[in-house]
Amino acid sequence: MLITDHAATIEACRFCFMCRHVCTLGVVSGKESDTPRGKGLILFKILKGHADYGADLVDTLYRCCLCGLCETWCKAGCRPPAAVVAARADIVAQGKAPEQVRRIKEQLVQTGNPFGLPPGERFQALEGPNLFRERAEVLYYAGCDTAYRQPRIAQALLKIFQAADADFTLLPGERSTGKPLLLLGYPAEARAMSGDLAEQIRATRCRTLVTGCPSSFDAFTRDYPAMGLDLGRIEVLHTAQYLDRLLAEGRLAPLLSAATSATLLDGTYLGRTHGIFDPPRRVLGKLAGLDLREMVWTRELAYSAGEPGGVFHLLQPQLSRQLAARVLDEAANTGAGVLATTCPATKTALAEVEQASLEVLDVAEILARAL
Amino acid sequence: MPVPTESYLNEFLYGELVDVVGPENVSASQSDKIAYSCDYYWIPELWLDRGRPLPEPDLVVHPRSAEEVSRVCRIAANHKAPLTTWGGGSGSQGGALPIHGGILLDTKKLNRILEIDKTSLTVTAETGIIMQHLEWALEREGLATMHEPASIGCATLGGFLAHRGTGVLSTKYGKIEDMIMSLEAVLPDATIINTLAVPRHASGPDLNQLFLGSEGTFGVITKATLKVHPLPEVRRFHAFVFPDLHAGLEAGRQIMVRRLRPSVIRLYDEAETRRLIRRVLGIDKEGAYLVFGFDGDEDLVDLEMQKALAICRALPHEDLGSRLGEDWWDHRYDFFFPNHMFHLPQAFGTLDTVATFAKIENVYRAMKRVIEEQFPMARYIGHFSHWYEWGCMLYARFIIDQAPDDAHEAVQLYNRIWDACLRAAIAEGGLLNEHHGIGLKLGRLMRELYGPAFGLLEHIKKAIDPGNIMNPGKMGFETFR
Repeated sequence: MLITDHAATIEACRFCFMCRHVCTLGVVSGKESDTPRGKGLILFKILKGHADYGADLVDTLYRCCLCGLCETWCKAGCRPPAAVVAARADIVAQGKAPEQVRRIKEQLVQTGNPFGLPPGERFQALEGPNLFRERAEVLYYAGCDTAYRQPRIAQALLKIFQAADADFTLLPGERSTGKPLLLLGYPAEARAMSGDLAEQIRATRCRTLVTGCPSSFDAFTRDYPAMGLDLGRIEVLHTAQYLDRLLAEGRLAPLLSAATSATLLDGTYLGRTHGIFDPPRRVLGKLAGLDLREMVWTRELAYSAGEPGGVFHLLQPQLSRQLAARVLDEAANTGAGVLATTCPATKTALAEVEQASLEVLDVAEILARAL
Repeated sequence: MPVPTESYLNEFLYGELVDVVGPENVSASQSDKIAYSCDYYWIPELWLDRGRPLPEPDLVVHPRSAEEVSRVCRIAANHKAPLTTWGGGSGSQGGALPIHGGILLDTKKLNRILEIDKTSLTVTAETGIIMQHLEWALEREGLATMHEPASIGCATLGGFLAHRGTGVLSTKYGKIEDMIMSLEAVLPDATIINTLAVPRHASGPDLNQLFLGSEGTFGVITKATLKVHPLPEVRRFHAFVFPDLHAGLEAGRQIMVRRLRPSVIRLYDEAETRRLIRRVLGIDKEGAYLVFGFDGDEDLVDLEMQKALAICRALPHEDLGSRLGEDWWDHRYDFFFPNHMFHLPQAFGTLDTVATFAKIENVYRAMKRVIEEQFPMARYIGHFSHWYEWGCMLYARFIIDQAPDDAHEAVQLYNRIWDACLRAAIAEGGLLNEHHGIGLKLGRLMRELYGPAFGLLEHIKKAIDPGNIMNPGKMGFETFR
């Protein structure tokens, strides 16, 4: 059992309440079983052989959105999301994965994206000469949510690349990084998918890999090294970092914002995991006329709409809408007109909820509108 | 959501509850049964740790309004089903455990803030709100209840009301029973009642105080109005080490009987100063660590601080200055994370009690003597953390580093320690508890504490809850039949 490696977290969390009020899912659902303590109690029983992975317990372990706020809040170094992911891998190994999880996994393996959409349609919304070049300095990895659900983010970035006269290409065989498979409990399948993608990326011999997807960013920078996958000397940047660099190098003309006020939603991977809080703020800060406001819950304590791996809104659509509504309420409290995101899956989840006062836009879209 | 299968009678109960709150708010899932079977009480923790089965609810229900609570109460009464109210489930006395199964009513979807009255400085909220959420919302308005317990993030407003909770600023701002203006409660017969709008009057007895501390045995508190305060201009702390506990107690007493208004006084005995204060705050001192603080307008705080400092400096002391006091404030919740909290395989209990200044040191020493003379496997530590004009609270703890392996033996030893210590405390003028409540843990001692007056409480319980469905088996009331 992989959860054996997480015994310290499980034994600490089972009787501890100290993060329950920040637990994204626990706060929204009000259910004890949705908090890290509830999952600690369940996993302790599993660990000791006092319970089996019955359907109810499995369901609970796939309800966690893995946002990681519990881990950030904890002063005892507990890592509940990692324990949950390990439990999912144990569940899969026992052949007990729920049908919906198995379906997403099959779609990922078959089509390279969690939606099961044809690989040939991945970049159909993108237009322009020389999108797929044999050699380029920058490789733009769009990611599944951007490619299939949020192509405007990719279009915005292409516009920025062109404005900055950047030497870039897309990867013709782009598919998922494997991150969703890892989070759903399929480490072997994730490794296979990641290995294939890593090889394609290495073959491009690009200098910089830019992605707008924080889950993919985390896959390239943390998962791949942990799996022993080497991207060589390729520098990996999130688009927020890349845009920050373009602006710092003066490669984009002074910009006037289309929006008058915005607030930025930080996230699990870019923010809590990698501590990248300032680059997106610097990008927005360079737009003349844009009033950047902060939410109360910001930076490492930011609310989540279920970012990790982009699978939460596929697995738990109803809960996802509740999470999204909470994020939108928090953002609306700032009075800003735009909610800026740095995660396409989050943008998709937020779009599921009607919110009249806020327009949700990726940081790249906000910048592209100002060009 | 799976329906209960053990008894077809539960199918009726399930269906009726779904009719009230919808299927998404009723659960018989194994996950919920596990999660609601254990609170912060050591015995269920031990039981779970040793792989023993815990009493579980048959059904968990999440009502969203007092009206839904009322309809749930009627269903429970009709079925004679035990109805146990659960707020945060972070109590240490087993008060929210569904020990007789039945319906567990989780209040956390009653979590709306209904009104912040900035003219009168009150807030009205539903009682399932997590206290920290209420406090954060008030902070945005420049206000605070000043109820700042370590459980602020995990316990609900209703939980604090139900067992008369307290917070670290209680010395100035009072316990929750001092903060209450009025409340709404649902009785076991489904009646929704409201107490009078203000708590100071000559219009009959105070019904607020009937429900405060009743721990869900008289009904479900669904709404409350509390006093709130402006956020203080400054909050300042100062710390001392006194050569022994006696000197520290005298310093605290003098501050209080001088009628200064500190928001906090915390005095740690020699053993706790040596272990916990060193570990959490890094203060390596022998003696009794005392920290106190004042808050409010800067000039008033400065004046009160000067007077308190003069009192302390007139006694034998080592002055640790303000930084080592502020460190305590900044780290006040750290003590409760798993790396600092006592945990299994340790056995531990918080023997919090309260008495007058004339008696509190004797209460402390009587319990200490019990541990040292009768239970050599245990050690004893204590601090004094909530102070009144007439006395103070003692947060004493016993710790056994290795609880007996056998669960039966461990529980029996545990309860013997509680009985012996609390009987010694009562004999010296202490009470069973000061702010954690009675629950399942201490019910058996209620008759000894109250004497004939417990009969009056039993009459009240029978009058309000003749079917004995509300949180049965707690507070020393007759258990469920």
